[in-house]
Amino acid sequence: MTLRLPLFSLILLFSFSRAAYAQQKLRLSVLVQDGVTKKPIAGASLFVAETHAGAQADTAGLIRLDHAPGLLTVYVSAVGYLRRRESLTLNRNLNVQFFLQPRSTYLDEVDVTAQREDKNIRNVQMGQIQLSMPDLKRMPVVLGEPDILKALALQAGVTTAGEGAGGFNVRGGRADQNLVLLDGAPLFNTNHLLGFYTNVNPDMVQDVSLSKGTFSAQYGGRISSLLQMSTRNGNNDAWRMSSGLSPVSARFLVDGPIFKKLTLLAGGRVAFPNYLLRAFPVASVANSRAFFFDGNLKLTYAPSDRSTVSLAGYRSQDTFKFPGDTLYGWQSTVGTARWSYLIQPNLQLNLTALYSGYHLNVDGITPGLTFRFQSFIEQRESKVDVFYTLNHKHKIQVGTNAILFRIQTGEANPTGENSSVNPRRIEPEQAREMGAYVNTEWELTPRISFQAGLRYTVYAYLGPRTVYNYLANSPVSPETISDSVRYGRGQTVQTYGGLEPRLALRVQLAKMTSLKASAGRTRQYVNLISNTTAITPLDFWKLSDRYVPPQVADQVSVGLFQNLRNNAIELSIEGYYKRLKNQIEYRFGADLILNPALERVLLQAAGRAYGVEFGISKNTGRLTGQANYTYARSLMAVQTPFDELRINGGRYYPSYIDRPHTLNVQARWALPHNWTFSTNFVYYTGVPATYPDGQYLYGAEPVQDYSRRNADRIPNYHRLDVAFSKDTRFNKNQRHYGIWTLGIYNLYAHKNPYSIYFVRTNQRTEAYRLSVFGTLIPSIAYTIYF
Amino acid sequence: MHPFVVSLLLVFGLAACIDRVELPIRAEEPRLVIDGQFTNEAPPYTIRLTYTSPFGLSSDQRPALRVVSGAQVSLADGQGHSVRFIDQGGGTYRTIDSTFRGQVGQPYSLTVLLTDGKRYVTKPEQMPAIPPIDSISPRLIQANNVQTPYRYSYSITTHDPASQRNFYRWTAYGLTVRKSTGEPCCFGCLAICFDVCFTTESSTQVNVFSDAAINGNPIRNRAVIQVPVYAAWPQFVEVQQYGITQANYQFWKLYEQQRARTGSIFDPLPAPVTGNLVNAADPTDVARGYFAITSITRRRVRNEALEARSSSAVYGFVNSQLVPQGDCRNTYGRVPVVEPPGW
Repeated sequence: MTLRLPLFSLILLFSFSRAAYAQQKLRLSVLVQDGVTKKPIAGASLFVAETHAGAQADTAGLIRLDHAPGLLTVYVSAVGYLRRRESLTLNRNLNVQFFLQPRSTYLDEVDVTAQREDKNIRNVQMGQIQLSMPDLKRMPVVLGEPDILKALALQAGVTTAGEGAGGFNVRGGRADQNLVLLDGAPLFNTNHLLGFYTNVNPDMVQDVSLSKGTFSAQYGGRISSLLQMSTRNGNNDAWRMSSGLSPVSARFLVDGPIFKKLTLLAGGRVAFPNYLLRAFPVASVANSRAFFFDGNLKLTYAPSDRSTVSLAGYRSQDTFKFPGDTLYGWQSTVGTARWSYLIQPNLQLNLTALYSGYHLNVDGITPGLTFRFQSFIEQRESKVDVFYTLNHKHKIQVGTNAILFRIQTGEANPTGENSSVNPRRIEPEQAREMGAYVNTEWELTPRISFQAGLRYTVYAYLGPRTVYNYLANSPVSPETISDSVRYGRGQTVQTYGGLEPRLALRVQLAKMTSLKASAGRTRQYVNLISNTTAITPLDFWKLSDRYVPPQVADQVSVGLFQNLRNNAIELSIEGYYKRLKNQIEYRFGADLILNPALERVLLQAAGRAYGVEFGISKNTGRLTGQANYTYARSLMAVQTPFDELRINGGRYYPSYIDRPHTLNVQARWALPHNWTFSTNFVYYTGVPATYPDGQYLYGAEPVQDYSRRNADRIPNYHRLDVAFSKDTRFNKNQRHYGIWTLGIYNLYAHKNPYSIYFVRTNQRTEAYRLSVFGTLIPSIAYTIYF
Repeated sequence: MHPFVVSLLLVFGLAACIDRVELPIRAEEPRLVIDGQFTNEAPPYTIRLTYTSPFGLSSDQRPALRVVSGAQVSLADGQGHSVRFIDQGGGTYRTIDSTFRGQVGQPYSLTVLLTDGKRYVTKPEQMPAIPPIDSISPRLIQANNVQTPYRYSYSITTHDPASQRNFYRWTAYGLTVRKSTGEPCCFGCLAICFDVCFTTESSTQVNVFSDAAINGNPIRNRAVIQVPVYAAWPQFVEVQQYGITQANYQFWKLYEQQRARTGSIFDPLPAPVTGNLVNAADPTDVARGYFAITSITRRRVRNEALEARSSSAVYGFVNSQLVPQGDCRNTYGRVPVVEPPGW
């Protein structure tokens, strides 16, 4: 009987809710603000327990809900904040204000439902991935270091070049086509230790979201995806410090109020990976030495309830020394200043100025040939964004930005005495990109909503620069130079630009079912030049110039989203097709480093990528988790009028990130006595490779021939990880406790290939498989909190 | 109170590994391969024409010699002269005109007409100039090798001309002495003969260099060959310094790059090692190998190997070696047994 009564009343409530709507509805307006900074929290959500009604905050943090009168239990939540529960009596139009307390990292065992449970159905955007930072820290990880990009690579449509390889690829796009934003500033490199780790400390990060498909017109400059990471704000209650130790790094974090309205958050990581390198069977890696650190600093000043000023800085540095001859060093530096001002409750202004730089240096230490090679990319940007909420169904956003790029593709100078190396310097490149956008999100009817945006960018490649002209109707080469033109400082050498329309549409077919579609165009004016399959420190950036037109991508996608059992289970199917223009390919044997006329070794390729992503996730109950399967293709073709430059005769061939089948399964099972079992299973098709397909003698030496690019595939990858963790707490309020985690990475010790290569020994060539983790890796971790 | 988090983690072994694997290998159509050069030295000049053969991991991996026979091969200079290469059998073609000799600065191009009607040509390439080798300096080194722990490493010094772009290639060979017990010089003689064999060691590495970074400066201590020390005897080394074209330099870089694959992230994408000989009717059909137009300068050095002869470590190694019985040529093949002339 006790069970039936609430069920009965629920059915009653549900049956009468339509009638109630017709009778009378009152307006509930809730302003949700950060308890520390008093800044409005965009995207916060409100949920009425009694009626399951809900609404989401606009960019000004304002939630409006029309609801029948009554005594309501409302939950207000947002990513990175503790959920708040309040009882309200709705007997007139009500305006209330809620402050949400930022979730401290020390409490990350507290599970927070940060989103509406049916967000995937109601949100107009598709192809979205949001990482939960507490979940990230509970995943089975290799070597106890939670890692943002490794967690993203378990999601549908996201892959990496291999275990321990740098960068990530989204829906058949290259690693340089992802716009990675840290507090709104782009990161040009995401790797520590040649790609083993992500260079952003997860302790500092509050929120990670990745858009795989068409993203808002507010963002541009990369054609494949948008990865946004925002760092936490310092708390203004008291000073807190924490530090931690993992097998790879030591970490610290401090935050607190400097004055009443000024808070600080500072943190850093220093790594000691040398003993891991020694375990590597390849002598060149085992005898290598490495070091890295990264640090974040954030100051937040809230002089009034309407105004917030924040300054964020980030710096990461790596050194990697190969035995004997070369020392690599790379640094990323990011600074962002932002002023947010709430002009009216429904009108917000953001002014941002930022700097992002990535610098590489290589020191050659061979006696007599000592040198230092340097390359860099620097971006300086300012932008204005205005968010206007007409009503809770219609929002408009407009903005403009201006970017100055400066790139040095290479410069080498002799170091020390008796070096025979002559100084060589490629003239730095500079360019200006300006953009303006308008974006609107409009709920036409409760069933139909859309987001439409238009972005316009204009790009100018600027002098000083000497540009070679080449004879028409012949391939670009040193022999076909017709003349050269010198452009002075600030003179425009080449312009590009155009419109980038973006559209997303949602049609709710049933209460728990929606159909979404999106289409959009993106443009990219900076290109990573790399002749290897993974991102390596030797790669450098290059601006689009006369011979390197901007990369353009057009993507359409369609998805069907279905929730079952009261949003406990989410099902999704998404299909996409992408057309890529002006992708960079390389002539055979291209010499890229310190090449003053790169156009002579680069080729323009056309690309296409398409795929279907199936996903299922279970969000409640003792067993939670998700599984996704992706069928995806990524193809390239070099179609030039010049036969000798075509790769594989100009036909489409699999790009080096083409990976048709991918299956990821993640599960967590809450066991009795505070034990948790979690597991990952990963399967994917091996990436294309080029095996020798012929041989001949040259001189007296046998030589292998590689006549067709990417015609073979390395063997498939599969791996199972498990972890048991035990929380020693008896209740949630206990302050001193520990967590044991016993994990096994690669449980059945499958030797997964990172690459296949061929070595000739004793007159025979043999194929070898390099496995980065060749066996199972058990680990025991004990984390103590006191 | 300041929370303090300590996470301890034990890792039981971290092992990346490398294993030999069997893989299916595609079979492709045979491609033409050319190997040869035309120089400023005296004729004859030789080229070799073959086809690529199938490759298999488990099969016999000696490239089956698929020779090109009956091809018509000729080389033309920029002034209307030409010379024919005559089929010698076994894929070898050789000039017989002793008056046609390469000249620095002249352009040359090769034409190959196969019996199936396919015509391959090279674009005219100018024979580059080459500065002389200033000196060759030997240095005794200890190598991480049980059989030949002591070697002389020979390096050259030359002066790069500032007025032109230069591309260099070096090859070298050296004569080193290997001993046996020998035989009496004649029946009943006490004197021992045939106990000293002058065996040849050749450079095997591709050794090319561009003056892009050092134009106009000396090229100092460019290592060209290592010759093992087997006995306390002098060594005799000859170094060939080639002036090669930019395209040939790029070919050698590609050749070197493609042969030095290790499977790491720094590996460049695999590519066929194609050169300058292209099917006139189908530009995507490029022969493997290169026909080089190159100038050569040579220099010899006689190394008395005093350092090795006075080193007790080298002496210890030399004395620890087994000395074969009888005529050293029974062990080391048909090699000179008297000091070669010219050094």
